[in-house]
Amino acid sequence: MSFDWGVFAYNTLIVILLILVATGAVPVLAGAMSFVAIPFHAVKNHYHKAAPYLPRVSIVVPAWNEGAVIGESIDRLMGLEYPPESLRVYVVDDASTDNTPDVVLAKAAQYPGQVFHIRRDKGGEGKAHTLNAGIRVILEDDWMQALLIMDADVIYLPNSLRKMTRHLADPKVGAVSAYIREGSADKNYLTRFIGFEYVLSQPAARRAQNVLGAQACLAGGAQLHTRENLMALGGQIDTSSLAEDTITTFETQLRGREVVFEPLAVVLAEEPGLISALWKQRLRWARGNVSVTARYKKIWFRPSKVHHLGGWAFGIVWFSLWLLPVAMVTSSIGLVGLLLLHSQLAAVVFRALWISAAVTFVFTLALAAQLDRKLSSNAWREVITFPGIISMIVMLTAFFPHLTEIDIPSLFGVHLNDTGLFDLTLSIYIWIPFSMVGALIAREVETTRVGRFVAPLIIYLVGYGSLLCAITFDSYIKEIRHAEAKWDKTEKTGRVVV
Amino acid sequence: MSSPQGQAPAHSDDQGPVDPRHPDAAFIQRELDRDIRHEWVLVPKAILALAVVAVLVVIRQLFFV
Repeated sequence: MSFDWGVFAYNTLIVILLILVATGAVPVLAGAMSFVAIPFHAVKNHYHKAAPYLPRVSIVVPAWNEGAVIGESIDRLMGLEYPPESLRVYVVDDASTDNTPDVVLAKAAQYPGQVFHIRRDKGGEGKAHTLNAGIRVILEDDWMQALLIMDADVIYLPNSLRKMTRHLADPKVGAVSAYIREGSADKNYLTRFIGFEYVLSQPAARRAQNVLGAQACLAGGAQLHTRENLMALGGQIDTSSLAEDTITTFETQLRGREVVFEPLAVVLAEEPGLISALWKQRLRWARGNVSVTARYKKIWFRPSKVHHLGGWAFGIVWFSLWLLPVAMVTSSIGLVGLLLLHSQLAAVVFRALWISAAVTFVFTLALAAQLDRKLSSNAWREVITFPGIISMIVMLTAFFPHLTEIDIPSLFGVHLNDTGLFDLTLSIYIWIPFSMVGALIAREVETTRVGRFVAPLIIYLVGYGSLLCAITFDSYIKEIRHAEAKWDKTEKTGRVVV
Repeated sequence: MSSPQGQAPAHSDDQGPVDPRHPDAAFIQRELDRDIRHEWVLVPKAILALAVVAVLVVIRQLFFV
């Protein structure tokens, strides 16, 4: 019997295409795993090791041209439900050119011995440099027992610091983070999307990370460190990367200290209302994550007795997010290849993949919407359309195949022939990579005369997730080109209200 | 649990009004106990989310398979 090389090549190609399609299932399964872990936070949480504890807290606030908001921020900090004699606020003025120094000095006079102004004459080096200038002053004496790193414009709800410090009663804890909640007064479609994204990524996903035992990132605007942890980190924040928050989080855990997310400590923050501003912010984050992934290449998927960062679950979640755009493209390539070679198999695989995605999406959105009911009810349009209207139609096609391919077209008197059905199927299979192009178009049209209406429409159609994937994809390109990685401060205008 | 650093807040069993700027240990412990109980609502919320998925699957099985 002779060996049929043609059949062998065909079968090999089919297997390769199936593997490509399967890459799209990894982020779906990782998302499902994370969200299934959330209810286990009822039993596996850090509350059982927490206790009443009110350490002396130094708050370091980096500020550049924050004159419009810094005064009120200081007043709110001094009004926290926390013993005022155990609070000190250090505002590090990063060479501001507005009235920031005057405002802070006036507050220092109003709260003597509690509010301090630290002036940097050379600014613009990045948040980590600014923080370090304050930390150096704070560490000159031994008053500080815990250090709170925050942003100038965020608002801590009155009980938030108290809810964070109780976890530090456990000496194994090195740092605690809080729930950064989108709090702009003048919300638009984008801030509502961001608000719901923060629900998904914080009270949802970070609860799951509490359960898994490893936190990916302390929120930049709300991270509370013990003095011991800060000293173990060298008494300063890493300045070599754009992802200083993530590096601090990893280094804390690599030294055997726990990082805890406190979902009930709420901090309100202002987030970008324009795609261009969001793009700038997230590009910085995404490029920072590239450097984090490379820097810690020896920990991934290598379980350790000291920390859980090397666990398989954490690794899969981390890489699923980081490589999501790649998975979207490879999965589509696999589906199109199968469609051309073996259309029946393609249909089966497509249904399996997208039904899994639909089930995961519905479960995650339904659960997350309940975790912050007020925010979700105000952003119900963005909750429903979070995956994008077109992606929802694709999911419907997978879940209810006759509905979109036969029933709905027949309502309009359309009966698809084989060619029409093939074209429709092909469009559905390649939609996901093209949704990222749609997000890019939304960014480009945003500044045009029609952008105010067209940009939101495009984002509702292609999905907010596709926008984030497009930004991550851009970060790949910037990294490959070795584009300059510079600190771009996200502009804040004091829009946050309680 | 003993505090590793600094001072734990003064302990009091008094359930009367508490100065929010100087919460005592009993007040903070009650708040902690409340938050521990609060986390149990995650279970019915997850079950409800699962029920939404189940409804979709049932509709598919009944009408579209």
